[in-house]
Amino acid sequence: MDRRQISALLVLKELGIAHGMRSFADRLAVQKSVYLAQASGIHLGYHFGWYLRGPYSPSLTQDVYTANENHDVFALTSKWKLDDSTVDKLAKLRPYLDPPPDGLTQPQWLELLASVHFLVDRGQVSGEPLADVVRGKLEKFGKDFTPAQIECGLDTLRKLALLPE
Amino acid sequence: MARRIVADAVHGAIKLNDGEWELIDTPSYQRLRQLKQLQMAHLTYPNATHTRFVHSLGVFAIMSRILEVAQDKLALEDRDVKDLRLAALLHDIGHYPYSHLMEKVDKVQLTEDIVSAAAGTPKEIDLTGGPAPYPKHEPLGRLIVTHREDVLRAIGGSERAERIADLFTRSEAADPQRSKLLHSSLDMDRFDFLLRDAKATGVPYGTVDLDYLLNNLRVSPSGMIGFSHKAIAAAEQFLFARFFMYKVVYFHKTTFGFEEACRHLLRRSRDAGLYNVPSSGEAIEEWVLGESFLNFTDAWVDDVVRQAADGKDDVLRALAETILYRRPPKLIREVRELKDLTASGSTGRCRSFLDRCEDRLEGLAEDLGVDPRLFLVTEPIAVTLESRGAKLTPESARDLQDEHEDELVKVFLPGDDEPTSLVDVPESITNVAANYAYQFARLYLVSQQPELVENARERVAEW
Repeated sequence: MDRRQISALLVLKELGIAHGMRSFADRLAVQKSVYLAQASGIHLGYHFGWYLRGPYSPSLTQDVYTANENHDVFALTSKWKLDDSTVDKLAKLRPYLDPPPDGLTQPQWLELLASVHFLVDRGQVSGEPLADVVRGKLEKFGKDFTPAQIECGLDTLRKLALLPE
Repeated sequence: MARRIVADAVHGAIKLNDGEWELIDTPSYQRLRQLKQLQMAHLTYPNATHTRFVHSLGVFAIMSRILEVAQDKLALEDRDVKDLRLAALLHDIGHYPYSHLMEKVDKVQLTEDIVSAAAGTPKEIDLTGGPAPYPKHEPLGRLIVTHREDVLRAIGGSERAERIADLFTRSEAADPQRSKLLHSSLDMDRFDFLLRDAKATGVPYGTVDLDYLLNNLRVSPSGMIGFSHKAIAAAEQFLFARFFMYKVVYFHKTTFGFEEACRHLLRRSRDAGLYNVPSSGEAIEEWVLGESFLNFTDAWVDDVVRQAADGKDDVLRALAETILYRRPPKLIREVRELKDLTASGSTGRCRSFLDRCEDRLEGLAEDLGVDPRLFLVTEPIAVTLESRGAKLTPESARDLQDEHEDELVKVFLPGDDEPTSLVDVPESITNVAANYAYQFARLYLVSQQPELVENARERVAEW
């Protein structure tokens, strides 16, 4: 019944992201999709810091685990729902969470989007061309996204109005 | 460089250089003297009145000791060392009045929302049009450090302020080595608050052999920090100390009842636009950047409580009077369980109890002639030994390597160059204990009528 836990589960459901968190890939997808939802103006209130796989919120992991332990998600949706404006906003975000057909899995794609956004939004990269600077930064953390993938990520974030044109 | 010395009850003499002294002497930093570290625990443990100020100095003291050991091994430059010392001093500068209590106002689930959710028509949650939630204290700390003139001047300008804020908010993506110390398994925050809180409350559970642990600190070739295997027992004891302090002190039923009452009071006052409780995250940020920031203290919350106690709203008045006159909310029922974190699919007792509360609380309130808003239902809280258990599948354990694994307590086993998480050491008791969570859910009633309370307890005992 913690409002934030319920909200997190409902947002994940709306985005089509599995909430079970049984595997690392699941957890990665949960973290990065909530990060992107917040960046898109969904007020969940999680603070993200930079970890080895990009933006991460320990509170979010704790909340989703606790919510999974204590709520039947299907029963939840009979008691709580997101209002229309929240649903609309998430509907605009959702299609962009599917990876482009270049071999990245959804968790990898989400990691790329969220990491790039974090680095730019928090002023951790500067200079031009942005794609090269971002790539250099991500390489330092052992992420080997290709230049084309990073360009695609930047382009997607611009389409979502999460980065300036 | 001249040294200033602060005499501390936990760490002894804490030495600061002139720049650090100038920083803690700023009005923005001195505000931390007006924030109690343990929120409302002083209503249960009368001596628990120590402040965020002294805790921040304590974390600084531990950081200083660690840097003496780790600087060369982590190839930290002098600039890094100075930044890390300041980051330790500043890590809590963004704390709210009564610390986490006010920060978590948005997590409060009002009783009327709980009972109406069970009634059939889904309740709507607005995550866009409504006010932004209150930010966490870390981003608020960043605002303070990078925008408040007195702090900026003491730090030496905005470029350095940004660098230091990046460290303690974990925005620092420039060099993971630098922020590793502040966010590593060393957990200097917890080292200090366990020792300090145990001393202040008078309980024995927070004892940590800090000297032995710090004397057995090692750094691996890859920069991972951990303890020598000789210190395994001390490391295990640290985890258990943490567990019992949470169980006995931080979640003490009486203290928690007061804090829950205060959270509900603040949340309801905010929703009703009363007593100048900031309406949104943006309002909090404006306050922090404005002229009356120095009033952002426990005394401000105390004033809200006093106003509510004199106010016209019966529920707010009842909540306020619990705090003002130390009349704790009555625990109607607490459900406890030890959950096996490796088992899945079973419905826990805490969850079942919450389901009963959803379905039956409104009826109970009606039968007892009580406003349902005077019932306070707490979401299950889990207390664990570590942030992950040991008995995961091999795949899951490998997968978790890349998340906040570096924040787990680590030990160097004989012959190993890189440390292992303590919970993964087969002969460690934590290897088993970390797979369990002590979980509880509570129902309180804000009432001073003994018969009413007993009646409620009898009814709820059957749920």
